Amino acid sequence: MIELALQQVVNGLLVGAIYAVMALGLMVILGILGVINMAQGELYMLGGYFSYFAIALLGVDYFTSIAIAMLLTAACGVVVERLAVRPLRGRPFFTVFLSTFAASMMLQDLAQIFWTPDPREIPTPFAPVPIVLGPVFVTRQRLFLFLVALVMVVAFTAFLRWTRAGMAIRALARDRDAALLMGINAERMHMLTFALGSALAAAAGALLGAMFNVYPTMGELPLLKGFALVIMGGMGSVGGVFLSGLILGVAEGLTAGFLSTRWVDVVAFGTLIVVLLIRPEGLSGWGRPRA
Amino acid sequence: MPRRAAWLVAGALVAALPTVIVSPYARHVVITALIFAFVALGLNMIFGYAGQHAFGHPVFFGVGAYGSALLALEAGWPVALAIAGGAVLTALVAAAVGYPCFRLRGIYFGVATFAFARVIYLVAQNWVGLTRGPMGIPAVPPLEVLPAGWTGGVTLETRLHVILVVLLGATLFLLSRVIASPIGRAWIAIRENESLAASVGIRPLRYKMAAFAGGGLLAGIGGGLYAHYIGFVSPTELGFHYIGVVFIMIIGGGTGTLVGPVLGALVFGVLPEVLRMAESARNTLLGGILLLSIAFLPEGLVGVWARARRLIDTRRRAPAGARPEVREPSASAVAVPPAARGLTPRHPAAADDRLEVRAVTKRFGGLTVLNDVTFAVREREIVGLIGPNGAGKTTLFNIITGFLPPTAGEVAYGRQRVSGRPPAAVAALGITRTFQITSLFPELSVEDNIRTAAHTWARPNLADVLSRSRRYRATERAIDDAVEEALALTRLTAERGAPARALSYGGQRGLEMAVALATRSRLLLLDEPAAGLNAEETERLRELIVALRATGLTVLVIEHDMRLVMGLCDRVVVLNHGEKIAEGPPREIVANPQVVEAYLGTTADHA
Repeated sequence: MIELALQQVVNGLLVGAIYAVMALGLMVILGILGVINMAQGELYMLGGYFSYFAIALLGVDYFTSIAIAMLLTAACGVVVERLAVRPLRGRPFFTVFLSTFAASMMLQDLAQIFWTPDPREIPTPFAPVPIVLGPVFVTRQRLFLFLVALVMVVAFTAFLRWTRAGMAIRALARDRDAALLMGINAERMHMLTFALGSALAAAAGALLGAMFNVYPTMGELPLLKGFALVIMGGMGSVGGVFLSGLILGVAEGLTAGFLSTRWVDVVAFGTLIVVLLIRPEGLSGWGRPRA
Repeated sequence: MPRRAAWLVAGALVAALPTVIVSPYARHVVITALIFAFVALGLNMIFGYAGQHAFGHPVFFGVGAYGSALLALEAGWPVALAIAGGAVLTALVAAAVGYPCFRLRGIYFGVATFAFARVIYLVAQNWVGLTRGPMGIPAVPPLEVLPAGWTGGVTLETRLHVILVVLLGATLFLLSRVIASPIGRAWIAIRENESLAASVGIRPLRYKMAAFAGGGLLAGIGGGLYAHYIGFVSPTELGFHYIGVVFIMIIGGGTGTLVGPVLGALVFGVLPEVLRMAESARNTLLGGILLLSIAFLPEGLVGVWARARRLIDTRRRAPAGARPEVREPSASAVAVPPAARGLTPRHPAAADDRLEVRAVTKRFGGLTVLNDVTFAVREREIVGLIGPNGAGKTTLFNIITGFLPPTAGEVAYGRQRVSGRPPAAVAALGITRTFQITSLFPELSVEDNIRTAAHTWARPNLADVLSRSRRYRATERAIDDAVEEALALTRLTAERGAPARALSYGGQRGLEMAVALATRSRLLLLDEPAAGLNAEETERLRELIVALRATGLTVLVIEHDMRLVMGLCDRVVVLNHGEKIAEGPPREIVANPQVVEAYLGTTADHA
């Protein structure tokens, strides 16, 4: 019993880190452009497919395919920004939200048409033998997933903190008008932000796609889980999002272990709803004095 | 009534469509579009009129489909009854979902409704015992209203088509009455400016819930009709796809208009099918249409039509020369009150009608904005609340009117405790405020702004609204009278039809006064009413306030214009850094050294 719980907690932690990567992509776009990008799930899906095709057609190894997928998806993200977001600058928030939703519908449908709804398997080089850590087993793939997620989160934070572009992005998020007065090129930063957010989604897609297969509708649930985490994490806190990702992963793991795998996805939305209701300002605000 | 006749003809034409359309597939497409018109009308209620971003709302379509199918199959209800029952059930589910979601605002509300939509989907997938899971429910019986054996000489599809048109016509008819009533005005007011709506006595939660559940009812009707038409229900009906479809219908048709969603359902529901790519690229097409309609049809087909008509109208009228400006004879505003009956306070005066602010303290985090402030405003008094910027005046207004809770202390009006009530409930007690930064319903016409504010004293029930009862019409006439008077008092009669956002700044401040007056409250709280007004407008404002007092109103006014304060107020309360430093007649106040120091930052001796 304890062992099962422990095993599920570890599994959950490892996968939860990837949810956080997905959420960071959403968060940076929301923070800079003020857009909830509903097409993020499809960018995740594209990441999975690009990784698959890079291996199948170009013959590269799995690790290189992730990098290729991130690059190509970043380009796709820029196209989405150009077509569905930029023309609507100045229009109400919800209008842009619907427009990215339209982009999401189209991308998903095109994937169905060109790539068929059949799931595809990304071949990975991981040995099927799990690593035994005391009472729990960890597959090499899950461990790799977790490490990559960790690297992404750290690299993302470092990028925001120490590069010029990162500083410009933070400045835009903090005070848009002041940033524009300082000569920051908003259009270019929006493009960069979308590229960055898309690359993060693609990484998540290539990593989880290798675990659960790749298919056109694979992005729906990660999109919503990403949402949940952005809100739970307190809108704009990288640490909060990461922590929330781990919590969600563990909650899902325990549900799968003790209740039924069928109800795993309800946990994500249930958690989101509960968090929204008791603490709309997210987890990271916990402990701060209330106004 | 040519308008009503035009509607009947349009309805008859749509009803007669099956005689023209012979292809069974085309008939199928039209029926589907008619069914979706209900769902679109439902979403339009909450999204178009009440302005709430209920992204997940179209999922109630699927709830209605399941509800009705299960009632017919498992409980053995007759189909028509099952559809009605399913719709009511859907409204209940909507209410249960809406209540927690409305704790959130804006896009968070939208995301929460979406999360619920996914939960509903997952429940349908996984609660196999009830819904039979992903397999769906087959053999749902069709809707039949004629007695067994009767066919009326036409096919089942044709009969359903006629039923749908009649039902849709009836729905539109009733909906038009609701929208034109105080209920519809309350929804639009919430969409346009929720704070102002609350301060004129509209309870936002109640009306948002009504729109959410009412919209759920319509979506549920659509779902039930669909289930019994297709004969099969599966979790697909609860999927992503329909959310996009229904949004296209209302945005493409005309958000927040009566017939827009129906038009949108007929055009955009049919379009993808007509393009004959239905099976292979349906969502690509729908997504593309949604993108294009967002970009190029922000006002929908109805908006395009309205614009075209305006263009034709101006062309036709142009040769007749410029229209003469209609201006009311500019009588003095003071002349009105003795005759003003439509605007007299709705509560009878009572001897103890005093506003009492008792030891009110307000802290934000560690910052004390108000500290132990106590004063009273007596019946028919005009009291000025002055103090340097940041003294806590507007915060005090927010506390009195329920927009902020006090950290300590309380506010009472007569025998009623005011603090602890939400803004709309405070308005119901007869206390109305204006806002420091101009606050109106920008897209509504001047007269509709005022009409909306009649909400506290003219609120009919749904039965009266739907039947247009004698009582309802009498109330609407009383509202009209009040509107006329408020227009005359604030000299806005000539601009009555213009949208509020098009008024000059002075006109907008005047309209704010008119809106406050139309609530017929006994106590008005005015937050810097003269800010930005020129000398003449300020003088007119002074005359208006004095005249209002003569009709029995009490006024508490925040103002920086000392000349106005001196000429207007019986007493003045001075705040500085959140503390009351002086209170008394204006003459004494200006001589008070503490007050002078607060304003000039130095003592009188040093100056």
